[in-house]
Amino acid sequence: MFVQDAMLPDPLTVSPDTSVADFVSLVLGSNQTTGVVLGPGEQILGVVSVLDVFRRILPSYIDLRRDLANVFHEGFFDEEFAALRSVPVKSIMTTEVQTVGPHETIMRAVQIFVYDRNKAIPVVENDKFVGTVTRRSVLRRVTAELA
Amino acid sequence: MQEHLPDVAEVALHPGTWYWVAGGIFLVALALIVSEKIHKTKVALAAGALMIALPILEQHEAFYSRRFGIDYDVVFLLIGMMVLVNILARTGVFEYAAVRLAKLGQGKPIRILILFVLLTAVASAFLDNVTTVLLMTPVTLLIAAELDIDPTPFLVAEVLASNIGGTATLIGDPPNIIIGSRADLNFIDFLVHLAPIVVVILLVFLGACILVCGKRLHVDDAKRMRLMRMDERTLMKDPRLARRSVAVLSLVLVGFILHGAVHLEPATIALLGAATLLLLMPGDPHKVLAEVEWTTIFFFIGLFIMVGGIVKVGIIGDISELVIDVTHPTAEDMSLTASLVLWASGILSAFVDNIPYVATMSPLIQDTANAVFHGGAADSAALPYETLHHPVLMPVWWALALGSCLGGNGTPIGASANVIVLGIAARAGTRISFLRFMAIGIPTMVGTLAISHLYLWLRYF
Repeated sequence: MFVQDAMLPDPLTVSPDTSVADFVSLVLGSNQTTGVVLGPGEQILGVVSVLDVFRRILPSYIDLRRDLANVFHEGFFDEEFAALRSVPVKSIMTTEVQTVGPHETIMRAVQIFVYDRNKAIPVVENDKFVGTVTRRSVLRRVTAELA
Repeated sequence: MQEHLPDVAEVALHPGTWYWVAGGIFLVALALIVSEKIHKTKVALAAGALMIALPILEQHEAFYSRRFGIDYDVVFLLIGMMVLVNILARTGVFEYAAVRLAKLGQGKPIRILILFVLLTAVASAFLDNVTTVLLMTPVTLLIAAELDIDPTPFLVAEVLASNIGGTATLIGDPPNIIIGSRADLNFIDFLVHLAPIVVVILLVFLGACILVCGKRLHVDDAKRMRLMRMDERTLMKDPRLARRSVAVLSLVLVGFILHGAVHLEPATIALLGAATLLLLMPGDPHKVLAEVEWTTIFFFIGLFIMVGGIVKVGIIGDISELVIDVTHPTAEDMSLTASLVLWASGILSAFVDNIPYVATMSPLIQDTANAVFHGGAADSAALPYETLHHPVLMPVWWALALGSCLGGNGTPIGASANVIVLGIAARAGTRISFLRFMAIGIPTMVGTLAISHLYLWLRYF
């Protein structure tokens, strides 16, 4: 199987100025949790995921003492999310992006899923974004082939 | 501390080429360490290795010589305490205690400030400063966030308190461990001679915190109730291991106090404690041992060899002669020497890592004592107990400890704890500028050094 065989038909993409609120609406309306952030000319500026939203809500010092997250007051998450709604995704996106080419073997994508823990990988050809491959899309494709 | 190393024939090198080579290696290494352009452990190891590779130090001198080589008393005391503290830290007991104290203070900011300063200072006296602030800073930031107040006064007060508290005991700060080893000073010596003045300094510091911050820190009741509703029990990850850790740590401290009666060196006591707690801790020790600060340990190893090189070629001896020429210490009076050491140590430690400074100063003081009490005829690394503990010399050791530990409060780079706290705070969105820190740090440093000088004068001069 090659990457192009497992690409999503309708990948989630956003502009860098898309608000977090709008991104979350797109996530809830699709079954994707990662969006590719595209600049003019379809070049990839980064990826933004639900994890990036949660990461921004969680204070940085929690990585030193994770259990401290247990004692935040009840409304902490709601308040922080509300403050984040109007923030553009370019403020929270991941800019170091692993990509794959459409003609590469699917095993290249699988090792990125496993070792880099990415849920979605942008597919790039000639420096332009052409699609996204996800863990789910790979499983859907292999299941269809074996059926 | 007793001599357990085999006797080594030590060949004195005459001043010549190697004198300047050793001095050059040391100065370049020190400059690189201070500038932080290259990681200090890389520099210290490289410089130490060069000292051996060139015929400045023999390998057996670097590895086995009490005078020129690695001080294993210091190295293993550090390793033992690091293992103990790592296991204690994993249990969550610290965070539990901090939230408990904050609730004890009814969520009132000034009370929390006082209690956290006291907790940090006491913890730093028995754990190392860096671990203490690594444990205190996240929970302080969380509590400040819940109370919706600026964490800066808390963080700055805590880091200054950690440097003050760490001055009180043998194990509170690495410079004290080095001084303890070189001057044959034990846990009780530090408790008797330094702990009292550290308590006074801490109380004065607390008073200053209340004066400066008291009127500025206010929280509304709704936010206070958020804190009061926190369930600190969720922070205690392993109550059983916490109890065991506290018990073993207490026994280790008792061991330090009784080390003369049990005839065990502090390093042995610390290793015994570490081994005991590793046995009591379920699971693989790999992670705990991996978390020992090996970069710090290797820094010490390289540093001891580096300093050993300049001791061997006679540079330390020459500097001690200069100190004698300037301060005129005699067998009856070393007050000027002690005063100079206090203030020079304090000011230098505000800018330079105090560990290489103390590692260099300790043999220098030994050489000075040798010159004053024995006409230079004795072995500086093996001076009699009566010389090292001479009532006229003792204030010089205490001046070195007080100056090098308290000086770290002067600037953000004066102590590793300062760098760490400011780094964590900046990542969390609370930027404490160099100048803002120094506006509090420098008066604290000068004030605490002045109190120390008064103490030395009243007690020893």
